[in-house]
Amino acid sequence: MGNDNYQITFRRGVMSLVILALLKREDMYGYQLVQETANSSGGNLTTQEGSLYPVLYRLLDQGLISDRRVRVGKRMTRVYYHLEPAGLEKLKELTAEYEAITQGVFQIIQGGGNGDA
Amino acid sequence: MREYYRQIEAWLPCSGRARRRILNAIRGRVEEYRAEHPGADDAMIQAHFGEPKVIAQGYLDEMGTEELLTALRFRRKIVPLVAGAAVSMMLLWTVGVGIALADVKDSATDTTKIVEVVTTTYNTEGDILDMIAHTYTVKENVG
Repeated sequence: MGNDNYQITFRRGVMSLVILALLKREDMYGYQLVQETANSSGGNLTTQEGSLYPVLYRLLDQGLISDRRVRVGKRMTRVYYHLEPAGLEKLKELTAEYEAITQGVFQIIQGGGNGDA
Repeated sequence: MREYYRQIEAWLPCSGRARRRILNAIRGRVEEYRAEHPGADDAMIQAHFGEPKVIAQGYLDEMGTEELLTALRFRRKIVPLVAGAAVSMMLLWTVGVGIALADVKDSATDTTKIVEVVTTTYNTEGDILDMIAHTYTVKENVG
Protein backbone atom coordinates (compact mmCIF):
# COMPACT_ATOMS: atom_id res chain seq x y z
CA MET A 1 0.00 0.00 0.00
CA GLY A 2 1.45 3.38 -1.01
CA ASN A 3 1.36 6.65 0.91
CA ASP A 4 -1.59 7.88 -1.12
CA ASN A 5 -3.67 4.93 -0.06
CA TYR A 6 -2.83 5.47 3.62
CA GLN A 7 -3.82 9.12 3.31
CA ILE A 8 -7.12 8.12 1.73
CA THR A 9 -7.72 5.56 4.49
CA PHE A 10 -7.00 8.11 7.23
CA ARG A 11 -9.38 10.57 5.61
CA ARG A 12 -12.34 8.19 5.73
CA GLY A 13 -15.21 10.04 7.41
CA VAL A 14 -13.09 13.09 8.18
CA MET A 15 -14.50 15.34 5.44
CA SER A 16 -17.98 15.29 6.99
CA LEU A 17 -16.46 16.43 10.27
CA VAL A 18 -14.39 19.12 8.53
CA ILE A 19 -17.35 20.49 6.56
CA LEU A 20 -19.62 20.57 9.62
CA ALA A 21 -16.89 22.35 11.61
CA LEU A 22 -16.33 24.94 8.88
CA LEU A 23 -20.07 25.58 8.49
CA LYS A 24 -20.32 26.16 12.24
CA ARG A 25 -18.29 29.36 11.66
CA GLU A 26 -20.50 30.67 8.86
CA ASP A 27 -22.49 29.66 5.79
CA MET A 28 -20.14 28.86 2.91
CA TYR A 29 -20.33 27.90 -0.77
CA GLY A 30 -18.54 24.91 -2.33
CA TYR A 31 -15.29 26.49 -3.43
CA GLN A 32 -15.08 28.50 -0.22
CA LEU A 33 -15.19 25.20 1.70
CA VAL A 34 -12.31 23.86 -0.42
CA GLN A 35 -10.22 26.98 0.25
CA GLU A 36 -11.05 27.08 3.95
CA THR A 37 -10.17 23.38 4.32
CA ALA A 38 -6.68 24.08 3.00
CA ASN A 39 -6.21 27.41 4.83
CA SER A 40 -7.53 26.32 8.21
CA SER A 41 -5.52 23.07 8.20
CA GLY A 42 -2.31 24.90 7.33
CA GLY A 43 -2.28 23.11 3.99
CA ASN A 44 -2.20 19.66 5.61
CA LEU A 45 -5.66 18.79 4.42
CA THR A 46 -6.62 19.54 0.85
CA THR A 47 -9.49 18.41 -1.29
CA GLN A 48 -10.53 18.92 -4.87
CA GLU A 49 -13.83 20.62 -5.38
CA GLY A 50 -15.46 17.66 -7.14
CA SER A 51 -14.87 15.40 -4.13
CA LEU A 52 -16.77 17.79 -1.93
CA TYR A 53 -20.17 17.39 -3.61
CA PRO A 54 -20.75 13.72 -2.77
CA VAL A 55 -20.03 14.60 0.89
CA LEU A 56 -22.30 17.66 0.78
CA TYR A 57 -25.05 15.57 -0.81
CA ARG A 58 -24.86 13.03 2.02
CA LEU A 59 -24.98 15.75 4.67
CA LEU A 60 -27.97 17.36 2.91
CA ASP A 61 -29.68 14.00 2.62
CA GLN A 62 -29.24 13.37 6.35
CA GLY A 63 -30.68 16.81 7.18
CA LEU A 64 -27.44 17.90 8.85
CA ILE A 65 -27.02 20.89 6.52
CA SER A 66 -29.27 22.84 4.17
CA ASP A 67 -28.57 24.77 0.99
CA ARG A 68 -29.86 28.01 -0.49
CA ARG A 69 -29.21 29.75 -3.78
CA VAL A 70 -27.91 33.30 -3.69
CA ARG A 71 -27.76 35.46 -6.80
CA VAL A 72 -24.26 36.76 -7.41
CA GLY A 73 -23.94 39.44 -10.07
CA LYS A 74 -26.38 39.53 -12.96
CA ARG A 75 -26.52 35.93 -14.10
CA MET A 76 -24.68 33.77 -11.59
CA THR A 77 -26.17 32.02 -8.58
CA ARG A 78 -24.10 30.52 -5.80
CA VAL A 79 -25.21 27.69 -3.51
CA TYR A 80 -24.53 28.40 0.16
CA TYR A 81 -24.54 25.62 2.74
CA HIS A 82 -25.85 26.13 6.26
CA LEU A 83 -25.35 24.03 9.40
CA GLU A 84 -28.67 22.80 10.83
CA PRO A 85 -29.25 22.04 14.56
CA ALA A 86 -29.02 18.30 13.80
CA GLY A 87 -25.66 18.99 12.12
CA LEU A 88 -24.41 20.79 15.22
CA GLU A 89 -25.31 17.77 17.35
CA LYS A 90 -23.60 15.46 14.87
CA LEU A 91 -20.53 17.72 14.92
CA LYS A 92 -20.26 17.40 18.72
CA GLU A 93 -20.65 13.62 18.49
CA LEU A 94 -18.09 13.22 15.68
CA THR A 95 -15.62 15.58 17.38
CA ALA A 96 -15.73 13.57 20.62
CA GLU A 97 -15.23 10.30 18.74
CA TYR A 98 -12.44 11.73 16.61
CA GLU A 99 -10.60 13.16 19.63
CA ALA A 100 -10.83 9.87 21.50
CA ILE A 101 -9.45 7.92 18.54
CA THR A 102 -6.63 10.32 17.67
CA GLN A 103 -5.58 10.65 21.34
CA GLY A 104 -5.50 6.89 21.66
CA VAL A 105 -3.45 6.47 18.51
CA PHE A 106 -0.98 9.20 19.56
CA GLN A 107 -0.55 7.64 22.98
CA ILE A 108 0.41 4.39 21.31
CA ILE A 109 2.72 6.08 18.79
CA GLN A 110 4.48 8.13 21.45
CA GLY A 111 4.81 5.12 23.74
CA GLY A 112 2.79 6.72 26.57
CA GLY A 113 -0.35 5.48 28.28
CA ASN A 114 -0.97 3.45 31.43
CA GLY A 115 1.86 1.36 32.74
CA ASP A 116 4.54 3.11 30.70
CA ALA A 117 7.36 5.06 32.28
CA MET B 1 -16.89 17.24 -20.65
CA ARG B 2 -19.58 14.71 -21.55
CA GLU B 3 -17.14 11.83 -21.09
CA TYR B 4 -16.00 13.34 -17.78
CA TYR B 5 -19.57 13.42 -16.46
CA ARG B 6 -20.20 9.92 -17.82
CA GLN B 7 -17.14 8.64 -15.94
CA ILE B 8 -18.26 10.29 -12.69
CA GLU B 9 -21.70 8.72 -13.11
CA ALA B 10 -20.14 5.33 -13.76
CA TRP B 11 -17.89 5.47 -10.70
CA LEU B 12 -20.35 6.86 -8.15
CA PRO B 13 -21.41 3.94 -5.92
CA CYS B 14 -24.91 5.19 -5.09
CA SER B 15 -28.54 5.09 -6.21
CA GLY B 16 -29.70 6.80 -9.42
CA ARG B 17 -31.35 9.65 -7.50
CA ALA B 18 -28.23 10.40 -5.48
CA ARG B 19 -26.06 10.12 -8.60
CA ARG B 20 -28.21 12.60 -10.50
CA ARG B 21 -28.20 15.11 -7.64
CA ILE B 22 -24.42 14.93 -7.17
CA LEU B 23 -23.86 15.19 -10.91
CA ASN B 24 -26.22 18.18 -11.17
CA ALA B 25 -24.36 19.93 -8.34
CA ILE B 26 -21.01 19.33 -10.08
CA ARG B 27 -22.41 20.41 -13.47
CA GLY B 28 -23.79 23.61 -11.95
CA ARG B 29 -20.47 24.40 -10.29
CA VAL B 30 -18.54 23.66 -13.50
CA GLU B 31 -20.70 26.22 -15.30
CA GLU B 32 -20.03 28.74 -12.52
CA TYR B 33 -16.32 27.98 -12.75
CA ARG B 34 -16.39 28.55 -16.51
CA ALA B 35 -18.04 31.94 -15.94
CA GLU B 36 -15.47 32.84 -13.27
CA HIS B 37 -12.53 31.62 -15.41
CA PRO B 38 -13.37 32.41 -19.05
CA GLY B 39 -10.01 31.09 -20.28
CA ALA B 40 -10.34 27.68 -18.59
CA ASP B 41 -10.39 24.69 -20.95
CA ASP B 42 -11.78 21.22 -20.18
CA ALA B 43 -8.42 19.91 -18.92
CA MET B 44 -8.09 22.80 -16.46
CA ILE B 45 -11.63 22.30 -15.24
CA GLN B 46 -11.08 18.58 -14.73
CA ALA B 47 -7.83 19.24 -12.88
CA HIS B 48 -9.69 21.63 -10.56
CA PHE B 49 -12.65 19.34 -9.86
CA GLY B 50 -10.67 16.10 -9.70
CA GLU B 51 -10.62 12.72 -11.40
CA PRO B 52 -13.98 10.91 -11.60
CA LYS B 53 -12.60 8.06 -9.50
CA VAL B 54 -11.46 10.45 -6.76
CA ILE B 55 -14.85 12.19 -6.76
CA ALA B 56 -16.56 8.83 -6.30
CA GLN B 57 -14.12 8.04 -3.51
CA GLY B 58 -15.42 11.13 -1.69
CA TYR B 59 -18.82 9.45 -1.47
CA LEU B 60 -17.35 6.10 -0.45
CA ASP B 61 -15.23 7.69 2.28
CA GLU B 62 -18.30 9.07 3.99
CA MET B 63 -20.26 5.82 3.92
CA GLY B 64 -20.53 4.22 7.34
CA THR B 65 -19.00 0.75 7.71
CA GLU B 66 -22.43 -0.84 8.20
CA GLU B 67 -23.82 0.90 5.13
CA LEU B 68 -20.78 -0.15 3.11
CA LEU B 69 -21.08 -3.78 4.22
CA THR B 70 -24.82 -3.83 3.41
CA ALA B 71 -24.10 -2.46 -0.07
CA LEU B 72 -21.35 -5.05 -0.65
CA ARG B 73 -23.57 -7.87 0.64
CA PHE B 74 -26.40 -6.80 -1.65
CA ARG B 75 -23.95 -6.68 -4.55
CA ARG B 76 -22.68 -10.17 -3.71
CA LYS B 77 -26.26 -11.48 -3.80
CA ILE B 78 -27.51 -9.61 -6.83
CA VAL B 79 -24.49 -10.24 -9.14
CA PRO B 80 -24.74 -14.08 -9.13
CA LEU B 81 -28.53 -13.78 -9.50
CA VAL B 82 -28.26 -11.57 -12.58
CA ALA B 83 -25.42 -13.70 -13.99
CA GLY B 84 -27.49 -16.88 -13.45
CA ALA B 85 -30.50 -15.34 -15.16
CA ALA B 86 -28.33 -14.25 -18.09
CA VAL B 87 -26.80 -17.75 -18.48
CA SER B 88 -30.29 -19.35 -18.31
CA MET B 89 -31.56 -16.97 -20.98
CA MET B 90 -28.58 -17.79 -23.21
CA LEU B 91 -29.13 -21.55 -22.75
CA LEU B 92 -32.84 -21.21 -23.58
CA TRP B 93 -32.00 -19.13 -26.61
CA THR B 94 -29.40 -21.70 -27.77
CA VAL B 95 -31.89 -24.58 -27.36
CA GLY B 96 -34.56 -22.59 -29.20
CA VAL B 97 -32.23 -21.81 -32.08
CA GLY B 98 -31.12 -25.50 -32.21
CA ILE B 99 -34.70 -26.73 -32.49
CA ALA B 100 -35.51 -24.16 -35.17
CA LEU B 101 -32.43 -25.17 -37.19
CA ALA B 102 -33.33 -28.89 -36.94
CA ASP B 103 -36.83 -28.11 -38.23
CA VAL B 104 -35.42 -26.18 -41.17
CA LYS B 105 -33.06 -29.08 -41.99
CA ASP B 106 -35.89 -31.64 -41.80
CA SER B 107 -38.18 -29.64 -44.03
CA ALA B 108 -35.36 -29.27 -46.56
CA THR B 109 -34.70 -33.03 -46.82
CA ASP B 110 -38.23 -34.42 -46.44
CA THR B 111 -40.49 -35.20 -49.40
CA THR B 112 -44.18 -35.78 -49.09
CA LYS B 113 -45.92 -38.47 -51.16
CA ILE B 114 -49.61 -38.93 -51.51
CA VAL B 115 -50.49 -42.60 -51.88
CA GLU B 116 -53.90 -43.71 -52.92
CA VAL B 117 -54.99 -47.24 -51.96
CA VAL B 118 -58.07 -48.61 -53.62
CA THR B 119 -59.82 -51.56 -51.96
CA THR B 120 -62.01 -53.57 -54.33
CA THR B 121 -64.50 -56.21 -53.22
CA TYR B 122 -65.43 -58.98 -55.71
CA ASN B 123 -68.10 -61.69 -55.57
CA THR B 124 -67.39 -65.32 -56.40
CA GLU B 125 -68.10 -64.69 -60.07
CA GLY B 126 -65.52 -61.96 -60.21
CA ASP B 127 -67.95 -59.07 -60.35
CA ILE B 128 -66.99 -55.92 -58.56
CA LEU B 129 -69.25 -55.32 -55.57
CA ASP B 130 -67.55 -52.34 -53.97
CA MET B 131 -64.57 -49.99 -54.44
CA ILE B 132 -63.24 -47.81 -51.62
CA ALA B 133 -60.41 -45.37 -52.21
CA HIS B 134 -58.14 -44.33 -49.28
CA THR B 135 -55.62 -41.51 -49.59
CA TYR B 136 -52.52 -41.47 -47.32
CA THR B 137 -49.82 -38.79 -46.93
CA VAL B 138 -46.40 -40.34 -46.49
CA LYS B 139 -43.23 -38.42 -45.54
CA GLU B 140 -39.95 -39.77 -46.84
CA ASN B 141 -36.52 -38.54 -45.78
CA VAL B 142 -34.18 -38.39 -48.73
CA GLY B 143 -31.31 -36.58 -46.92
